[in-house]
Amino acid sequence: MSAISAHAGTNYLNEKKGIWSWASTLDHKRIGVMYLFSIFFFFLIGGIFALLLRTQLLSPAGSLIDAKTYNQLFTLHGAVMVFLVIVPGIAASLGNFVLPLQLGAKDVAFPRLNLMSYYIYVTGSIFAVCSIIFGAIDTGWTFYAPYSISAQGKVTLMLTAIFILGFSSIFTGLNFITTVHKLRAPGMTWFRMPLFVWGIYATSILQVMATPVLAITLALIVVERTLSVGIFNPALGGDAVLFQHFFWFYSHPAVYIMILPGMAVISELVTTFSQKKIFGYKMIAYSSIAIALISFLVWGHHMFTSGQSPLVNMLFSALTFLVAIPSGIKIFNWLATLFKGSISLATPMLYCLSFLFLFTIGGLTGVFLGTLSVDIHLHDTYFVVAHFHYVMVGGTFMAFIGGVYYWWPKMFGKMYSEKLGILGALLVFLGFNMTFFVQFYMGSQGMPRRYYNYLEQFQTLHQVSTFGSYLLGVGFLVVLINWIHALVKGAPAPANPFHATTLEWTHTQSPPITHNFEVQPVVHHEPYEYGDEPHSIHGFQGLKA
Amino acid sequence: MANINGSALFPLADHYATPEQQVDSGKLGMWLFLTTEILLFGGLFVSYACFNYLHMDVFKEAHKYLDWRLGAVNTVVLLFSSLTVVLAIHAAQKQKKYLIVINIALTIACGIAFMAVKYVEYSHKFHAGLLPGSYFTNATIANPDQAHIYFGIYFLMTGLHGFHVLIGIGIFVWLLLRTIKNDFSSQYYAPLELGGLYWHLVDVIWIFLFPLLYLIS
Amino acid sequence: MENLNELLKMIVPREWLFSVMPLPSSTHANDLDLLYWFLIITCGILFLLVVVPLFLIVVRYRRKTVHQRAESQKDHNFWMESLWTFLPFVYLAILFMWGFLQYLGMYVAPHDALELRVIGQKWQWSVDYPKEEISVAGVGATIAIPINRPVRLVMSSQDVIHSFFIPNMRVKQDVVPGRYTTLWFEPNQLGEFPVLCAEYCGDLHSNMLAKVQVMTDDAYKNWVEEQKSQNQNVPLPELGEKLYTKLGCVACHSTDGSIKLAPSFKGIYGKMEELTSGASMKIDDNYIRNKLLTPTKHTAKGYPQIMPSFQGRVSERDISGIVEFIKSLSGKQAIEGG
Repeated sequence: MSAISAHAGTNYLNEKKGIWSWASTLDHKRIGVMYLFSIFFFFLIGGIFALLLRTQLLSPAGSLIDAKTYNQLFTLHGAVMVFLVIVPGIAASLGNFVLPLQLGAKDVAFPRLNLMSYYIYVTGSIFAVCSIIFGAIDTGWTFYAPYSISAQGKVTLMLTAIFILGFSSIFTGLNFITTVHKLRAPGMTWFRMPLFVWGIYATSILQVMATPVLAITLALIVVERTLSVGIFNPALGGDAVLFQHFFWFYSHPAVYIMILPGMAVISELVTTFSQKKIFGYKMIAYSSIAIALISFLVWGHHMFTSGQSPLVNMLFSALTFLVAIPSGIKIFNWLATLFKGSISLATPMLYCLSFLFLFTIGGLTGVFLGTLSVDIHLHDTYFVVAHFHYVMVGGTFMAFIGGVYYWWPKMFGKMYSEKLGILGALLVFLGFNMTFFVQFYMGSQGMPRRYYNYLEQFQTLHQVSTFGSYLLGVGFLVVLINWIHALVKGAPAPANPFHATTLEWTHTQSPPITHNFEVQPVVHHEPYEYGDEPHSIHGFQGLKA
Repeated sequence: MANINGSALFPLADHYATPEQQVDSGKLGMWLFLTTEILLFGGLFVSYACFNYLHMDVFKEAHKYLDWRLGAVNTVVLLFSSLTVVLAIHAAQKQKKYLIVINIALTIACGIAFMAVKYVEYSHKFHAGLLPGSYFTNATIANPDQAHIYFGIYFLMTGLHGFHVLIGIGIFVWLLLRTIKNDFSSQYYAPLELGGLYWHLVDVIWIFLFPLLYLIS
Repeated sequence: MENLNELLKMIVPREWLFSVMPLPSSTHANDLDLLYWFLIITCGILFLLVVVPLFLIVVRYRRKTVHQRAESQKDHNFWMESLWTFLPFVYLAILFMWGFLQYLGMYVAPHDALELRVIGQKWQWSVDYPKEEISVAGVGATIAIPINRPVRLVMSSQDVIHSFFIPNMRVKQDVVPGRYTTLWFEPNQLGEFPVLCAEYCGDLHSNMLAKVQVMTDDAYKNWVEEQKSQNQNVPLPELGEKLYTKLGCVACHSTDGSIKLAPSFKGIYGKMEELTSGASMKIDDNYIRNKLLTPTKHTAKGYPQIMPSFQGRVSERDISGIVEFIKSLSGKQAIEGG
């Protein structure tokens, strides 16, 4: 017997209607949904840039587009995907919707700040779009000095956009940390929180502490461009490599801002779709925090060939290997959770399994790159491109889609088509591997990154990769169609279709009412209890006997 | 916006169960924000350290062009203003409106005084051509073609700090207006505390800037 | 099997066949490839250790009825957890040590290495042989070196960050403006090996190619002599044409009238050029000289202001050669005044 039955009455979606009610909302659920739409919109844009540049790469000396345009495309693909899609990503959309519900809270700590974060995101994205339209930049999303100091295009405008977007990230993180500390339901101690919350909490620490350094770094480039101060420009007495230190000091933690929420989602999917208590709860929680803290110490592994001393290289290599260990622990814990569980292959679970497969490859290839001598050969080749796409797309993005499918019934009160779900998952998995697995080989063979033309011997592999990207694009389209169809014509969803045990499933309807809970939930036990003992006020016991 | 657990004296937001929860959350949020500010300035302090190490003699020479007495005046002014902020909060706890008003007004006055001294310092530099990057025109300094780096960092650090002082002044003007409108009481003065925390940070950053730029030789 | 090999050889050159890495051609490469294969095999095993159990678990414990519960709710196993924390730690420690020691070997060059000086610029490499007093430069330039002798490159950049990458030798090092970086290797295979730029540097980053040609000692000596004689007493217009490629003018200035990033040299000598200031100036010997040494003094209207200075890189004779070369593209004789 599930705690709350589905009913098509008043909920957060229909209680107040009209554009103004959405534009001025303080409801974390509505804000999460708005982020979700915006983020997927920019994913489409960034994805189109990628398809265009992959098409150029069908022939080694192709001239479908000119070199400058190609360089702009890879720059903007990176900038849009990193700053407009994946950094806000799961945390701003699913995090906003689910976190307060899972904590048994009515909202986040600072709802007005939350809305402001969204508007800051929108403002930043408008600046970015203007930069793209009025003078697309070609500096690479990494803006290395001194090239970025004298590069043409609206560089300052794009840097301003990213600076603004950084504040959205900081305020969201600040909001979540305060919410987790202060707004947990009565009886919910730290170790009774769902692991999704732990993951978002660790992410928020990174958002708050790392993003200001990015802000200063980008501001310094703007100052260099406009005032020629000479911090990074060697011609004026500056140090070009100093920029790399500043930049990666943020951007390495940034990649953990990207993966930690993905891992947070996977923890939820693994337990729900095996109806089994998560294995090693505390280790997963501690690993999330450990990853967050150690991530501040490894930035130099992006700079092994930059000319820094062997001692420095050694330290960063050692620390890089250290940060791999908590991630490995999580994978094994998830596997152990599935063992002897009752495994359902619903669509969210298909994405969860994809994650486990693809993130393992991504993580292991990171080990290659952490090995100093090997990295000298592989740095700035397609091997690196393949590695980070495996962790960011094969990892985070699979978890993102899985999470959206999982919480979809709760967010919109509708179910989607399982058939289309399976088709999409399959196409995405196949297309992704076809696109990126060959790139490991290409990188080992010496195919450098960011190349408009390339040596002839790489043509076949480039063609395989490009056709893979088309397949991947089709897969994402199927997912989009499934979601649009579900929104318009989906069957009504029950309160807890997947028999989960966390508060958002057991104590709210689908979709929830604006205030989340009819009655303030009180927590008496740890999460993920699927056993025989009576639990929660309403006696929820997992699947019915 | 009071909920049933609040009272007419404390505007309790909907999603909070008790005033304590709301005030504690606000303070935690502000501390987190201040951490980001420290990291923001931290980046600039690191730049300073790097360039000091790379161009030690240039920095030693250039810093003589800063008047440590003006810097000291600003330090005293900011320290005093942190005191007035504490006194304002104390007055709020005692619900002595006129005292809150006086202390906030003094804080604002100190902020303005700080900016005035800053204006004097900056105009001296402008006149002497001691400016960052390509705008540097001073001919009498010891290593003219490298000194612009020092002044680049000087203007960045003091400029960003000055910008934060201006924002602080704005915050206290708003708090002054709210005090006059009777928004605060001995039950509710959280915004004063939060504004105070921000101002203390601005002060602390100056405490580091002052010796680093003006005193170290 | 024979036929299959022949067939494969037709499609794929030997170097790429069944080897994940390009043909190892230096002493570094052989060592590195060993570590690389160790990584592939061990990571492959680790991958299977995750994915095979995953597959088996999903198949074995697949939910068959709607209300099927989990068979167990066990959430701890001290020995398993310790194992999968400790063993990866040991494995990674081994990798770290091995990689670091190998890296140290790659970092410290032997005393008797042949020293070459490399300059990276947008978008080509120039290599100077200080002892032999020759140099090569340009897109596709051939950098000859003798086999079985260590060579050390001392590198810096004219403009932005580049990176000198020779995949076959397994070496790579960023080439940075404002300081020198170095790399060394000892080639142990004869042949031609591509050199690529591995740090994005602008429009023609992917075109910034060169090749290392490893020769026998004798062949190398001959090559050096050939380079020396090529540079002596070359007539001025020919010298200018050589410098046009060597200094990289070709990247931005065409000789056939097409516009790349700067005015074409075709027919330009003696013409009036409109400057950004609005004034007009005649393109004569002095104009060309000024553009080479202080390019920002007079800038042509309508073009990006990206021309670098060649102060210190061109001798008086070089400048004369360039002037004569440009004149020759306007059909004027060397004797006629400008």
